[in-house]
Amino acid sequence: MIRIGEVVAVLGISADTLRYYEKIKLLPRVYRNGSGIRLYSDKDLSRLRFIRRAQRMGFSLDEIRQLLGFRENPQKAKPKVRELAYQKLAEVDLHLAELGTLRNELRLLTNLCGTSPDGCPILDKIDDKL
Amino acid sequence: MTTLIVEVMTASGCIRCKRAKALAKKVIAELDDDRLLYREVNVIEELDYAVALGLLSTPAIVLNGEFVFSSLPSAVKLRQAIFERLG
Repeated sequence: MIRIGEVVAVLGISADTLRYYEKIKLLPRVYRNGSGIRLYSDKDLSRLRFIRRAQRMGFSLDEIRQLLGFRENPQKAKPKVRELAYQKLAEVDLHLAELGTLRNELRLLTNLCGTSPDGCPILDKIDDKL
Repeated sequence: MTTLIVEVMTASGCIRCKRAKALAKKVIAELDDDRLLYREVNVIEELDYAVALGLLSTPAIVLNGEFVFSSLPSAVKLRQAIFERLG
């Protein structure tokens, strides 16, 4: 169990945001010790990592809330939530494909840059786009 | 007539690309087959095509849109790959 400051350091989510997630019930009530200090469990951290990943993918907090429910209990998910999960899975796949293309493009350009004695094709390419 | 397009993937400043172009031209000239077409592709100008092929460096040789050689092949290997595809 770790304190809120450590969660901030580990996940890069601000303390205010962590308290907000708890307030809007995106995160279940976090355990408090005798002094009322929040202590986050591994399960809380796992949930927060999921929230952070989903937010980076551009999912709304409401969508994340539904997906978290799905994550907790996939067998008992309602059809609407299952449909959302399928839809988001397709978006993630598309995102991955785009990232793969971008990775390959950058890999090719960096390789060309490394072997070119008289300039860097990446810069030429960027110049073309300006 | 089934044609076979031999593409040499090149980039500016790539020293071995000159050798790859010379090799491909030489092999094509020796085979003297009307079905063979030669094309030089500057990967910076056709970046999407190069990335879709999975190209990571130059020179490379592509036969009918198939990424076959990721480095400079020997004349024998290039000739053999062409023969296999011409049937």
